[in-house]
Amino acid sequence: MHVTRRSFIKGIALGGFAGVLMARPGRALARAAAGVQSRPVLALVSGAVERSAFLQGIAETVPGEFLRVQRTDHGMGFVRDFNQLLRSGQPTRIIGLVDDASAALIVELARASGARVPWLGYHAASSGHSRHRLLSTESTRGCAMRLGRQLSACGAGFSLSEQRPHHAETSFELAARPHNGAAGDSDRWAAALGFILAAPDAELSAWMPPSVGTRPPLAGNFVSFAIET
Amino acid sequence: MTEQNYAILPPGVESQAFHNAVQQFRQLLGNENVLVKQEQLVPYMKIMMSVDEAGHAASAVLTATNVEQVQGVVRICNEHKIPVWTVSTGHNFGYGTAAPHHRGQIILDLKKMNKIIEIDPDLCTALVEPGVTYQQLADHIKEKGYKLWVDPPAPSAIVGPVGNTLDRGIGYTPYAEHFMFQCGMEVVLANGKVLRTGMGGVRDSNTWQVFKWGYGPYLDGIFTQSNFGIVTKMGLWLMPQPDVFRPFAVKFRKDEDIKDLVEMFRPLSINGIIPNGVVFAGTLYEASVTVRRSDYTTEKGATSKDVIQRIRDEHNIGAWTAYGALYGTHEQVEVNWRIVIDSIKKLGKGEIITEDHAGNDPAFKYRADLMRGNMTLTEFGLYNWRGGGGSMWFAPLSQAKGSETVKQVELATRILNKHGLDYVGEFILTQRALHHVIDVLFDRTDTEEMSRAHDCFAELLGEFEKNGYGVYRVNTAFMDRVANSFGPVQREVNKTLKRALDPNNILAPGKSGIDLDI
Repeated sequence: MHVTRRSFIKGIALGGFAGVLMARPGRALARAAAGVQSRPVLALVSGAVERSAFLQGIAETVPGEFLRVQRTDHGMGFVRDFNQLLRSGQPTRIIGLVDDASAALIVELARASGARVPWLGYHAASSGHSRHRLLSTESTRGCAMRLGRQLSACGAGFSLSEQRPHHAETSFELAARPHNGAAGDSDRWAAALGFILAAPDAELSAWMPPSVGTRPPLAGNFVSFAIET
Repeated sequence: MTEQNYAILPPGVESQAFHNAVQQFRQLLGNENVLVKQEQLVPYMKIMMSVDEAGHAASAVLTATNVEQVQGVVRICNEHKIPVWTVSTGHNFGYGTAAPHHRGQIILDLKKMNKIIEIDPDLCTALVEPGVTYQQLADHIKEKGYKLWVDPPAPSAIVGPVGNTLDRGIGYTPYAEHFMFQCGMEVVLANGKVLRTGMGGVRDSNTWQVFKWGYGPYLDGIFTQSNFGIVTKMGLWLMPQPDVFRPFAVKFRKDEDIKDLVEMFRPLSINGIIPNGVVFAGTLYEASVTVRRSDYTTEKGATSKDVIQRIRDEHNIGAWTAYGALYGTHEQVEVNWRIVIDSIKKLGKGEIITEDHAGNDPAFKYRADLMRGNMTLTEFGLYNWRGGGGSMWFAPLSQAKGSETVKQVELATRILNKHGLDYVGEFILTQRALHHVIDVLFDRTDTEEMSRAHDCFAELLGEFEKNGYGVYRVNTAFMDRVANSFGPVQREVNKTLKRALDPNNILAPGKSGIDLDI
């Protein structure tokens, strides 16, 4: 799926990176557990997210031929291309983890186009701790809890609150202090988030987000979303 | 949730009655224009205020495509006493976004009423529907080859003239005061009747978009920042493209320079030498184009003076940067440019930056685009300054006097810093008044910070009120509070009008504090 030539070029540029990620051993196992996604997924990223474990999490469940990755910004060019995609009439699942400015535009454009938004999350991460404020719907039911479990398993400190304004059940909150020496794993939330957004119905228990390794952990404020056209 | 099991209901409406109403809406508008599924409602919940989303969750969203459908929606809402919150494009971000005033209200989204009905290139007028965006209008003008400019506010391309004018927003060209350049409205009243204001009431009138006042009481004003009707068409004036457009900036290095620069620019504005909405941007507002707070510090709380000075030094940003532009024929612009230059020289401070000097400076380009009526989304950079998605515009009015601006900046900075937040503000000069717009930015993932931001905003309102200052616009969470600032008599008059025009209180209860139930 190509948004425009411009974004296609961007997709190619990032596609190489995504391709490297998808060469990881064990991917097939994870996909089998998760249920392979066979519809196009466009992943939007900005800034350091491009080099984070977020894309790694997505790649665990979306085959390369169905995944396109695009950088966002808040320029007029991106807005034109994204609007064109939203209004193309092609059913597409768009997931992303981007900066606040890009997210403000993306979600507004999605609404204006009539797209559905089953997930909206705000995230703040610093060394050894992350905060997550989530809005979920019926189709992403349980995703926040799964993210919470992953955060807990990773050992980094976190707080998570989920609002389900249109659910009969009440919202919930989770929090944990960091385990000793867990700061190095604080990027795992991004991998888990990528996995969950790419495959909201998938079984996550068989998969553990990979260790960050030498990559600097993702720090700062981000917004995640799932958009369906 | 099945569609018969609504998790959120309009206040005071039973589930069965709401279901019946939804069925009627479907019959009127078609299934695709009646949204009740969760994932269809979530995009209307990306609020930026210091309150939970749940308090502003809609029970349903309707989209109408013509006036008759709007009349039908009003009829059904009256029948079931369902409150309806109307948005044009709904992109007003730090003023509340598209979310309704309170939980359970249905949203009437007019984005599909997006026809440009008429543009007269000779009279420089337009008649448009609420869903028309500035981008759409600019594209249409370009396609037709008309020599006309539009005047968008900062979110430019994605917002529209009807919504922004009805909220009394401002832009940056000589047509910056949008309501001043509005002419004629079509309004669906709560009783279903269609009112055309001004000359629009005269059969076969061709002066609806050229003469604002009509005959008898001037009514257009009561349909701005109000809930007395649903505006379905609006006339506006467009600026003829000038032969010459010359943007410029003047950088001032010290905080206290705001006093002198306002004194210098006021007469230039009142005399029409600089005809546009002149901006005086504070350091952090200006910096947000290229800088994030986290580039300098990750400490919680207000950004220190030392850090702000480092940002100024490293990015060559003034304590205040004035942006203005000259418009007209070559001769007019040359004469006026000399007057501006002389005024600055006489002041003895301020670094003048022309378009040539600025080169590729993104901050200059952004401001020049706004003053030219070009589409730009650079201002969204503000949301990355602190991050976390919290943004509430605190927008007091000020006399265009230097002493007043100093007082307001010091007061606002003290309160914001006390609550661990930054002064990210600018002034927009429109002859005699200054719109002082301060973006109260905060992190919504941090409940403690969100709580501080809420308290901060309330204190800003309270302290400014004590000093005789009122705001010209506010987000939905604080509308009732602000209505109090304007006194009990204004509130009572508004309520009297509401009672007369909308006795069932169905149109946007709570808008600007007008609600028959409180």
